[in-house]
Amino acid sequence: MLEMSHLRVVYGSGSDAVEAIGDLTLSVAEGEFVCVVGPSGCGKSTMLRCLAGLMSPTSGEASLDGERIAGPPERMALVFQQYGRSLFPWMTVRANVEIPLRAKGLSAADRTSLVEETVGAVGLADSLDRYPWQLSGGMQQRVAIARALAYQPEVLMMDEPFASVDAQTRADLEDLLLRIWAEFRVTVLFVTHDVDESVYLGDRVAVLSKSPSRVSQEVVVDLPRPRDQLTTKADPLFSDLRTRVLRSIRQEPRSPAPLIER
Amino acid sequence: MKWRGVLADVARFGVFLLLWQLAAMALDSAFLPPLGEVFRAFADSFIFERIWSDVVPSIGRMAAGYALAAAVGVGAGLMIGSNWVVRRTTGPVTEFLRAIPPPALLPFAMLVFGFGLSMKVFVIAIGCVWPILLNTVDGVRGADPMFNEVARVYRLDSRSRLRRVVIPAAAPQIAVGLRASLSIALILMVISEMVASTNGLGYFVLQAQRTFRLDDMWAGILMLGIVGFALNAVFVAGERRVLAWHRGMRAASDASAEPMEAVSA
Amino acid sequence: MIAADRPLARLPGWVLGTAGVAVVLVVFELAARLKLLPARWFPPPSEILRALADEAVTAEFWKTVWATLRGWAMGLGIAALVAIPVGMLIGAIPFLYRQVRVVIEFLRPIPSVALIPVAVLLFGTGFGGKVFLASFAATWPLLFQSMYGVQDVDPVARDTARAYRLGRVRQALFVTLPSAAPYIATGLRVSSAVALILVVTGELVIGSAGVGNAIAVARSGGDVAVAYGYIAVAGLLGLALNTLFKIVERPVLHWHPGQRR
Repeated sequence: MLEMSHLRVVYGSGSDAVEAIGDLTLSVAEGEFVCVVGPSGCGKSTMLRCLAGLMSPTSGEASLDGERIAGPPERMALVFQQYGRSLFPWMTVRANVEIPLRAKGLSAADRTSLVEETVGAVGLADSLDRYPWQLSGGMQQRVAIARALAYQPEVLMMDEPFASVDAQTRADLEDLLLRIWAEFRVTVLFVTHDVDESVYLGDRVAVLSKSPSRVSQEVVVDLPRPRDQLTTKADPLFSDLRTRVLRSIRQEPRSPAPLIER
Repeated sequence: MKWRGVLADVARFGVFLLLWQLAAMALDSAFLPPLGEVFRAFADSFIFERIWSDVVPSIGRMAAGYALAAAVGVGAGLMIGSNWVVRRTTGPVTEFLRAIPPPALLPFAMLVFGFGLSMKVFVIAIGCVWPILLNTVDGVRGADPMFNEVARVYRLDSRSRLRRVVIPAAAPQIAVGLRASLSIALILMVISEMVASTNGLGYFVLQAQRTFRLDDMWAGILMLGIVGFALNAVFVAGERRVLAWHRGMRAASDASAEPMEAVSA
Repeated sequence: MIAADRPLARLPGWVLGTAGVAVVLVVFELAARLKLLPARWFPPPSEILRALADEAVTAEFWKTVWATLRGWAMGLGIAALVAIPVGMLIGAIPFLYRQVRVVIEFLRPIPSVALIPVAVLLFGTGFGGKVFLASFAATWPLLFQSMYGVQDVDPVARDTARAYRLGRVRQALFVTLPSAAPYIATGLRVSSAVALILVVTGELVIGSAGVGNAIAVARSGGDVAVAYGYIAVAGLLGLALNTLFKIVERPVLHWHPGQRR
């Protein structure tokens, strides 16, 4: 459903040129949960920006259902890492979740029911009329997820969404995301630099190399679902997969000293 | 506790008036009439005889010029702020125009618009437009680029992007410009009435001096002070309502950034 | 990065700005020559330039400009001498601040130009009147900036100074003054603009010699191009003074984060 073929991105020109993405080919099937993991500064965000239609690649192409992505596609939502900046501080939670629905031209009744359903799904029904800055970081990111869900995308892309919340909140948010994924049946492309997170969440983990990045390995995660922070992470298969992903990052020939923040 | 503070301020103000009175008595100069006479002149003139003939027309002119400046300044500022080609092209021209002391444009305005209402409105508007325009440009440019990306990802059309994202994001900075322009509007209203008018507060004050009614002159100055104070108070109250989110957000981020401060304070 | 692929972005920074100025001048020139604008009121820019050039060779012109500049300098100077020490003192001593706050809040909203009649009474229509106006108006921004500057000294810096047992004088010299300097610099820049505005206003309304008066005289004499020329001179003065302050601020305040933007 979501395809990248020979994606290449170069910033600048001439002698200042920086090759952020070398040659990236990856596909995500409908309903699949794919994690992309790689060291910081490996071009993960650049890749997402191309997929979201916020920038165009230097060469190669990204496509959604066979259609080339030129601008932000209608059936796609993106959750940014910086929850504090991606929510509009002048709008209440309700208005923040509702604004994309207005743009879609939904009726007032449809908007209200969607907003209440999705905000309820992330457990913030009580906070509909509060402002984002009155909420904790984890709650703000849940609002951002609710906004993405209310948009009713077929593909949900997430750019290190849990990287700046504390560990406990992060575990809660991971479980929340898995529940939502099962409930709303969306395709998820989840970018992270956390190996454990990628194995815990994904059906498949794509490991990116340092930039200019390419996919150095794909690992299929055949852990049973539903998953659970305690039992899944205690599963010997989990540590197996985790080791495989880690090793593939470390054996990455271009980076003798692995830069994994873990 | 709060009432004691207010009472103390009232007392201090009383001391200030007393000093004025003593100075007036000691100098015994026609230039500094005793307070009683100033207050009597104030009551005679402004309760309520001259409210309609001078105060209201003055405020009306000011409001018209200010509103015009706000509309043009915010409109042009949004356009210039969101387009870098326009911004660079108009840069030097706006730098020069805003550097002209606004009263210097008074003769030009009298030339083109004559001595009537439109002249005063023009002068007030052209003086007020620059702080509003430049602050709007800064507000648009200084807005978090993330807001724009979110708006693009969720495919907001350009109208709702402007109305619901660009303008609110720039609003705190626009308010700074609007506030700076408020006192400029007052100044230009007074000057334009001094130079070319047959009523209004500026005219009243200057005429009082020329005919040596110095108690009236001081009463007029007092009235101008009151008008200035009231306008500012109204503005601040409005800003608090409209930008409540901004104050709340700042308070929230201060509290989380400096938890120690909050405890010790 | 925003527009790296667009050809206009590769031009040096000054090209577009110059083009903007040129377009404005050409449009006005054409509009005036083609009589699209009433010729009585809008002489073509070339004519204004010529009138200004004719003026600029006379000694009278430079005397006029000097009269305005001198009024500005004295107004700002007096304001600085009064407002900076008083403001810093009020800011440093909370007791004093409480005593005078009400009076300051009462005086501040009075528009400075309301005092034009007082200036005439006290100093006549000459040089003194406009200097009084300019210094009165320029006092407020400086006073408030000096007050805030002193009050806003980083408590950590103050505690550090105390911990190293710096004396009162040294604390004032090495901690308070540098912390307040950026505020005072901003106050000076704002007050400079205010002083120029009030000097020109004084010349215009009271009639003391200077650029403001020259504009009014040229207008009433029907010499429209000369009037516009002097308006342009007023703008150039404003631009020059503002640029001057920015240039001076930079090396003095190079350590301040606000300068690095």
